[in-house]
Amino acid sequence: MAPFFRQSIDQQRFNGSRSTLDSHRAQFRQNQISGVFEIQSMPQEVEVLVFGGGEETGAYRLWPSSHLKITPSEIGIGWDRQEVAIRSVALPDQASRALWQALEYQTFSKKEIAGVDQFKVFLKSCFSEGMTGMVSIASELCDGFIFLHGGLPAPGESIFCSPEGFTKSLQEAEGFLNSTGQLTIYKADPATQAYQCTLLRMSMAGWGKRILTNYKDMVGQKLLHIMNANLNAILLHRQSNIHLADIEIIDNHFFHECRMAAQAYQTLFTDMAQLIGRVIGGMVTRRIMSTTFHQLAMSEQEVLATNTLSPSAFLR
Amino acid sequence: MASNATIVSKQNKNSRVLTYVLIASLVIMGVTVYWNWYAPEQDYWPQLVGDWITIIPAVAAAIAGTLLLRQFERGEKPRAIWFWLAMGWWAWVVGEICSMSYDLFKLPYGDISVYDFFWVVGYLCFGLSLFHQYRNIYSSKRKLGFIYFLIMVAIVLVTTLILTQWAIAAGLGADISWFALYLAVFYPVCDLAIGATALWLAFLFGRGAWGRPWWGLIVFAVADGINIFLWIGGDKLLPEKVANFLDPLSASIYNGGYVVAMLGFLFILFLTFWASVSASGETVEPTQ
Repeated sequence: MAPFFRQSIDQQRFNGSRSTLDSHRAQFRQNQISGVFEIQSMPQEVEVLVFGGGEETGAYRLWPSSHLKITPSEIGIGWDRQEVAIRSVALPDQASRALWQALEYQTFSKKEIAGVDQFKVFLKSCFSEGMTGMVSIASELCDGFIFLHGGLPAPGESIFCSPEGFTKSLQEAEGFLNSTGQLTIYKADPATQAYQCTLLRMSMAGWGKRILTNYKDMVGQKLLHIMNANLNAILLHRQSNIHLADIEIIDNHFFHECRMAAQAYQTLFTDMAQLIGRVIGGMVTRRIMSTTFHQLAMSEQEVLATNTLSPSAFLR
Repeated sequence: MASNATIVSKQNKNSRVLTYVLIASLVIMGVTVYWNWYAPEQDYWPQLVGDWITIIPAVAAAIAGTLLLRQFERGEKPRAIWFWLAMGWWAWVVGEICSMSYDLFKLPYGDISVYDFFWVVGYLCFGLSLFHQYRNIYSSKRKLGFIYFLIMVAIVLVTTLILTQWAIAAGLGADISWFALYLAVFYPVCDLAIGATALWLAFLFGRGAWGRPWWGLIVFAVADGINIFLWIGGDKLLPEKVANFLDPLSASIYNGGYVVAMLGFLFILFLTFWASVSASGETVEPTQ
């Protein structure tokens, strides 16, 4: 029991029947909470229900060395008792998203590590293998996920939970990773929405960073700052968990479908193009968008274009 | 962190200042137009009043350019653009003051005067500013080296030389030295080169605020274009009434160049002022 984000302060443990669970699920839905329910349905089986912004985005059955995707309606079928142990954890969007992403992939292997040094050795081996997938780490004081892309930790795609709270920085988490821990490696499955959403998010962030860098070079820090402030206000108004910090676009929103993510990104880039255009005009803005797009790797360009996020979509 | 009330009050203050500046600009242009058409036909003091009517917007443009320059930290790429543009305007302010001093102290205008030095420096600064702006736009594709600027300068100098020889052959400037004629041709060539380059920038930036300070250079090119046309004998091709109209028109447009440059600087300046009050994520809506 309690395999994920054990240090989270926003958690509840209780014994309950299916109807108790349903009322808790309804609360998550009503309050648009992201998080997870862990249900000890049988001694060797845990049912996991992942929420993203109040939506039930995935349900899974976990056994000691494997897991299976099920539908949310299957939760509660086959419990060996009337009442079971339940743990509900409210999580930041990106933590819930990382958990969903991992469970959408198949478990590849498990590994024990004795501390940070061994963890770093493990990361080096992932680099040499060029592994793409999710690594879950669970140690006494800290647990979390790292997404590796071609063997390298993808920027902004890691999340750790320690007694000090959630952090996206591996360096900050390292202090809590000194004890023995367990790694679970999930190999990315390109067919899953989880993987496609991650690629889209990374490509969008990469393109956005190049656009913002160009804009900053052209008009300086102050005008970039005002553009960020304007765009962040718009994003806040849309209740979107995406924000701009200097030249970075930080997407913490839990999109569980590429279609929804692409729609949000398209709106974001349209707004960004409009705000930039007010300062440097539409022609130069389109030029920046087009030039930076073509500087991206072909795979990134393809991901963006497939999701109607190419410069031509903004050439109006 | 600035509160929303602070931001709103700052925006209100900015729009009030902009309104005052627009009214002042209209007054300056009104006085300019009136004076260029209806100044008393005397030698001394009307000339001085005319000089001051030019110096005031020139100083305003140079101050606005300097204020904009101060919004950029050392090392920021746009700083070089505004540094050279502000320097250009200051060089011309000094040129205008020198010109006024000649009138004030009744000094004889020679073939070449002190202010010519400042006009030339001004053109060089504008050229550098334009070069940095182009480099800033196109550097993502290729690094435009300083050599390109030197090539442009060489083209301008050679074109001036060719046109000077052509003017001499056409019998123009018989009463002035070769160098004075070269300089007299140099100005319109620079006007044309800088005006055309600024026009291209204005098209590139379209309705964006970043393109507005360049409009001042375009207006100067228009004013000087009319002047040159009259100077090379265009007045003889036109009815006297039209020729008499074009002369004060050109002088008025010339002052308008300073006013337009100042307003262009202020548009960007107000955008950056708002940035300084938006500390972290507050709504700050720049209006156009």
